[in-house]
Amino acid sequence: MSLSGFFQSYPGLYMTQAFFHSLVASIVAEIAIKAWDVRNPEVRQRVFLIPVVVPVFLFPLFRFFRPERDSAYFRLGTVFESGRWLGLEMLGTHPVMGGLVLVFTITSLVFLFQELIPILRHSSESGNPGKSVDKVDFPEDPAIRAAMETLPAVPAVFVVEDDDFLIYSTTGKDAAVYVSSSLVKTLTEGELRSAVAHEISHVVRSRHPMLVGAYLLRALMFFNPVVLMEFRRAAHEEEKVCDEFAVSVTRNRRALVQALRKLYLPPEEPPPPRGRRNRKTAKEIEERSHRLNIESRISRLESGEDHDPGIRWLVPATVTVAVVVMNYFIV
Amino acid sequence: MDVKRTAFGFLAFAAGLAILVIALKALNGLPLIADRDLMRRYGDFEEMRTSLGIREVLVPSYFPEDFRWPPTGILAQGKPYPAVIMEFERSKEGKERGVGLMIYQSVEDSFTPGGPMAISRVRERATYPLKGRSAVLDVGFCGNDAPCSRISWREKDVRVTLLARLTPFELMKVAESMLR
Repeated sequence: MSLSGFFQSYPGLYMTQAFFHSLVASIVAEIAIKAWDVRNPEVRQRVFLIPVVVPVFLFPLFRFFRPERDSAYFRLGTVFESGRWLGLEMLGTHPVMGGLVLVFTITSLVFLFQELIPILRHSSESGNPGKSVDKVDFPEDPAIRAAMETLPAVPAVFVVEDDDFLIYSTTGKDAAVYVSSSLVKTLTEGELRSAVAHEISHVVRSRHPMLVGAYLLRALMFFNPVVLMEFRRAAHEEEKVCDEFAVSVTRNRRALVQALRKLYLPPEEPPPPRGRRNRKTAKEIEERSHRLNIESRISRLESGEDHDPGIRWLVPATVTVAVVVMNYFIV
Repeated sequence: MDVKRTAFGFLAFAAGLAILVIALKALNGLPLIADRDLMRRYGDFEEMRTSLGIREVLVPSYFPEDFRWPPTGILAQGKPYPAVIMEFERSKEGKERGVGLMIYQSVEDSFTPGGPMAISRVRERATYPLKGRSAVLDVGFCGNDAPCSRISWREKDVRVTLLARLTPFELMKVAESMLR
């Protein structure tokens, strides 16, 4: 099958239209975030998930209810027709078509190597009992026991012997929170409670059907770069959602801020003299990006931004309607 | 959330969407400037033929009472495959205006232009000999349950289709006048 033949087939039309639908949905979502100045992380996350979820269904739904959407007359009257750009010919080639194939291929590879393979590897490792760590159940550790007293629905919490500052959770059937012994010694009782409450929120939310469903739909759109980016933005918001959960449970915003500072923001090393290096390594860029992310979480917590219950569903619902209506005219 | 903020949010959102639609429309027009073979409307028949270089377009020499040459609208494309759509509006005063006859031809059998006269329900289908060709005649309804007929046949490497709010007998006369 030729390239243009593929783009005229059902899978080709689906992939192309899903890409443009998610692109438009992403712009609409961004307009909504700015228009209503949405800061609530839960609402932001819902809005970011719209370009991930909605385009999965739009093309088949439109095709089912309005088969004439493919007709020449309909295409002429649309807001944007992808076929015009795909059909553009330059020097005997179709540059837009080729570019789109390249983008779809790179995105699929990113999904495979950065998401699918690590998840499968993690699943197989967590199912392997031979890779256990030296851990102590929290009732045996007095500091953890004191910190946990006021937390509801606590999953298994273990202290791991380690000199590094670590706290993480595993999800699934044997969900648990792991804290390193050095962190237990460093954090105050309130800070430890906040940090564990944050991890508990991850465990609780990992069972959230909406998030599980969103991930499965995201996997169906493995080729779509817009979906890849929007899903990652939604995942970033997850940390802030869990921060809010921790604050609502512990009622101690300050303690979580301090815990985040101690955990993730060691004092920055002074930059080396000029001329010693010109290029930043990938690791340095990643560290800097991580630091910025933590600083943004801290500044959010410190500003004490209120929940805005009025826009909890209004903004996502409005964005969904706008995305469906606009994308009807994007073919 | 106060009402003022919500209302302002809606206004800003609507303005943002309007800008997005305008930008998309502008982007949609760019390929038409770069590539003259893309589907578009033409002012007249000769302009379409010279612009796309389509040599042979079958046209009728007979028109029923309310229709006349030239077509009131022409849409055509040179790629991904050549296709021409001709629209004819009723010209007689007092009768229902709007497109009453469409003639389209394309090298692709699956070409379906849709538009103002798409046939919504076929009541009867028959094969009909048309000057040595085998044509398929459909009688059914278009749009708001208005009776209409369609006839379609393959002429060399092109599929020719006529769709009209006419009796099958009148439509066949138009189709026969397109062939020698």
